[in-house]
Amino acid sequence: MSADLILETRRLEKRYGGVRALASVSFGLELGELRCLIGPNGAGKSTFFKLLTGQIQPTAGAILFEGEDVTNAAPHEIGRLGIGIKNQIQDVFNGLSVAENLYLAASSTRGRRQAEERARELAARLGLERLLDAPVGALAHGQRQWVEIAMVVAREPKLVLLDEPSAGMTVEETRRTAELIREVNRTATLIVVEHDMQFIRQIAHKVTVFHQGGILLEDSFERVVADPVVRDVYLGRRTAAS
Amino acid sequence: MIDKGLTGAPPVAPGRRSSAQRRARAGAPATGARIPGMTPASVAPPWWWWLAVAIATAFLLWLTPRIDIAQQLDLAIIFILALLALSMSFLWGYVGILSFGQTAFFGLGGYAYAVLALNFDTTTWPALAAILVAVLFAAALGYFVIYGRVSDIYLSVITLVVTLILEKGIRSTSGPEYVIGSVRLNGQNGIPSVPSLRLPWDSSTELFVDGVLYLSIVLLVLVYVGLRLLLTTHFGRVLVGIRENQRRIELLGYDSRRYKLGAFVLAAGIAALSGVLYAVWGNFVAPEMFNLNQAAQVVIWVIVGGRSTLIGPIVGTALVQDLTVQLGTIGVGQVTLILGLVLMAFVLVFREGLVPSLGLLLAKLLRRQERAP
Repeated sequence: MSADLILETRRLEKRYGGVRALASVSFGLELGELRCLIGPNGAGKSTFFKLLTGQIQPTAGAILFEGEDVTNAAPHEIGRLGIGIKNQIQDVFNGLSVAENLYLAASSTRGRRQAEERARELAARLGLERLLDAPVGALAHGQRQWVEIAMVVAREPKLVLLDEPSAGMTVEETRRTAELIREVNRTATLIVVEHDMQFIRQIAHKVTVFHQGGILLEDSFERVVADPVVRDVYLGRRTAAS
Repeated sequence: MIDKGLTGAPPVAPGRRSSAQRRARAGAPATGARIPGMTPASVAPPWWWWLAVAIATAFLLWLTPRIDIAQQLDLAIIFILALLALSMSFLWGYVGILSFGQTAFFGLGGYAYAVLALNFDTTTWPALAAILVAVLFAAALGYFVIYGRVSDIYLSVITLVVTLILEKGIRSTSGPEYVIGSVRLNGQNGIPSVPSLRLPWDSSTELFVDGVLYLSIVLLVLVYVGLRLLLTTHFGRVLVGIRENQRRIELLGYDSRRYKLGAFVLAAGIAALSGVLYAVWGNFVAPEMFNLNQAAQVVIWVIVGGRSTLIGPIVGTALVQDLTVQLGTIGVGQVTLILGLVLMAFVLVFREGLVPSLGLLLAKLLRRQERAP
């Protein structure tokens, strides 16, 4: 194991009965990376994220975060270690205000006063300061996505996992999200699951392709999109569909 | 109608979902409409709230010596049972846990007080120890249920079963062999002549009916204000976060089980306080304190009053208790049946309960007035 790997999985596997959702994934992530995960639906990307954050337990294999074994840790323990996640489905406190959402996120690592300060600061950065008192459930879809990303970032995690951050966003919102992600990357390591190739082109250094529960390929964006196998399993189908 | 309440103020994008859909999507329980203009629970209450609480308290204390003894008894039992309703409503409305069997702690508090006070011929510390007994019991029960990751629905079932088991257990203690110290548990018949509370600094003065009323007013106000302030603390805000989305709370690094257990134990303590006061009020404890009827009544109080505010369950208890007494007085035989109809009406028509429904109505009227030229 190289010393500057922030995250490593060893032959990580998740089976549901006879179905292998994830098959023996060995994955390494260097400190400070901005990695994109792509792959068709059902390739195991979201399962992978859920395993990393303790939302589901693996059938076999190991997960190491900063060299420490976190394979069977509970979600809150993972959260405390400094891994933050935005799930694929919207996962916020819909009935609470934007300010309260951000407060709850920030206050798990801070005192009350600082957490409220941090909540305001983040809202300002996202252009949400006028909506601080609005219930998150009443916001537009894109704004809710930002609130959730802001909640993940509020705690200043070392590793940020974003599952489809730009889903359902307008072109302009997507562009701003890419900016936001690059900004987060200055202080944190990221893994981003995405479908939108334009978006990936804007942010990715290195791309990992998932296919049928395993890693198919791992390379730079240009090489990945040029790869005939990738085109076949993923991009090809997409262009054929559109 | 709820949707308007939720989306009244802020600018909203087109194509937004209805609140019901949104809740279904988020998997969040449909707890409480948000009344526009109402201070969110996490924010410290405004000055007029303190003023209203002070005026209401002063009025009740002023009223106490001016009503007859029967009215004092009626009023005291409302406030005592309101504490029980508040204990359930706090858990249900703010943490999202329906503890159907809050009567388990209510009954335990009452019985523990009766046994201790009769054995030791003193009242102050037995009252406190009785609450402690229920709190320890709740801590043990809650630990297994909450740390065992039993789902919230089963928590409702388990607490209900526990209170029914306690009822059966107490009922089967009729024989003379069931004695704690010098006190016979008496099974079905309950324990009579439970000592009245005596002043801690003057053990020769017993609290009579008016004394119990004073005490229950003061304790209800203290618990009400205490819970309201608790919701503004970090602990309280995380509890509400758990209600909204437990998975998110955990991913943010909070151990939700610790918070839920804390809230569960606190609610049990409040229910036990209610039970002690109940024992003192009637100088009597009986297995009925634990039974299904009693457990279900608490749910009715909370549903009628509304669980999205803390004042709701108090109002609900007062109205339903009063209705029960009135129906009894005019000699309607089927009180339970009528209460059932009332409950159905609330579940079907005023889903949020009386207090929040009135709040929503008021907000609607105010907005209409604003719009009028």
